[in-house]
Amino acid sequence: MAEGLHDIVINGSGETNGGRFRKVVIRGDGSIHGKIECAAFINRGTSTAFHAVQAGKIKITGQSLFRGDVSAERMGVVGQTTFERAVTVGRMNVIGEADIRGHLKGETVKIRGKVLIAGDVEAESFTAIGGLSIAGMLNAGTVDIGLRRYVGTSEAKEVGCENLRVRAKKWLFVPDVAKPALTVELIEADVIDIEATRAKVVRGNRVRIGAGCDIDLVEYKQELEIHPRAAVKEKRKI
Amino acid sequence: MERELISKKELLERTGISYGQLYRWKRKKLIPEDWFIRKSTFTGQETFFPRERILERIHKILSMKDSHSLDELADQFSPNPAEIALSADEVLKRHIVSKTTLDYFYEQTGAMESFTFDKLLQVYVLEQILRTGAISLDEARIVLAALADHYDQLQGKSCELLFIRKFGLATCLFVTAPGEVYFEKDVKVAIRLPLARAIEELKEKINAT
Repeated sequence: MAEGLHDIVINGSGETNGGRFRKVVIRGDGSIHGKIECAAFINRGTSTAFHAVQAGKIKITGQSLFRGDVSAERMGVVGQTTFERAVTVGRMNVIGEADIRGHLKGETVKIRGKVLIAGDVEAESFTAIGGLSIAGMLNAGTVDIGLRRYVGTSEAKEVGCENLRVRAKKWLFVPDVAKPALTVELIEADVIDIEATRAKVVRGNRVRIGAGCDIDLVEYKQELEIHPRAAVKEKRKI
Repeated sequence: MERELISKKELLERTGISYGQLYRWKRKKLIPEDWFIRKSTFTGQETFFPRERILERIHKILSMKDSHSLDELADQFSPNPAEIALSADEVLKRHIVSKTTLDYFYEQTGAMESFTFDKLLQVYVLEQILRTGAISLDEARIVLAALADHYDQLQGKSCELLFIRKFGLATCLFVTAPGEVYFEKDVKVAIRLPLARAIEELKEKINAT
């Protein structure tokens, strides 16, 4: 960041036009009506950015709405955030709820809670504990999904990656059908280890179909292991 | 743009790469998004690729991936210009263009000492289109002028150069992908040159020392 940039602080309720800043801090309720470039964007309260935000670091505690493209090297969200356009991040950490209406592209994405993504996701490492709904394709190096009951069902259109792991939390005395599940149309990965997943087609090198899975077709190259409490209609070795 | 397609499954079988590699390369932009063509088949949605181009690209990646990082490869395959300036001697030495083309290029623009990427691309395209033998020197000038005019707009896009003729009239146009063009029956397409590919070849020549 160049020298001579100022901070902008909104305490209480306020509005500002965009520009270049060192630090943008909103405590209370703030609206930003222009494109913002800053080293740090910190929101503790409610904020709306009507245009693009480009920041070194974004930290949100509370509630935020981004109506333009967002890019940041690091992003931490605690609370509820809506992104109406594309999100590009280095490291992203979400605790709570994120609603992304565009594409999400990141290096390391960690989500604990609930995430809705209307576009595609690209990441080197993608971890989600809770629930996720991806309307597009999830393309990542490693995908680790932990399903939880309190957030409802999870879904993704397609998953393509190197390593995929899906785990459902163990619930004593709860039948498999009542457990949380992940619904995917197509999974393609090198190493697949899934539980509680419903998919039409699963393709991989080494595949482990765990308890509670319901798969129409599995195609594998090297190994296939199917749990007794999993349903696989058809399997093929290629 | 009639092309032969290859299914994802067949592609992996033929090249021996894994799903993970394919997806990784897509993420790293080694394989352009618009090569992934979705079609519905009786087993549901399947992905297809332009056969020749994807096979060539994957062989290139496989042969280069041990000596170059994925990011370096991505730079080379991307349609974005490289940061470079070459002297006229080097342009000839690296066989980017022939002496004849270069002389002709000088006639149009005046002699120059060093070539930036956009100039390199112009002279390289000139060489390519003259070499096809389908157009004359005068016609090549139209292409050069158009390329110089629209270079900024075309940057970073994968596009195709078309040179068409009808009843002795000749003109050229650029089409950005994904897009199809259809002509009336009297139109003859003299040249069809994918610029992204020209850029890729050019970068290869620049980097080969």
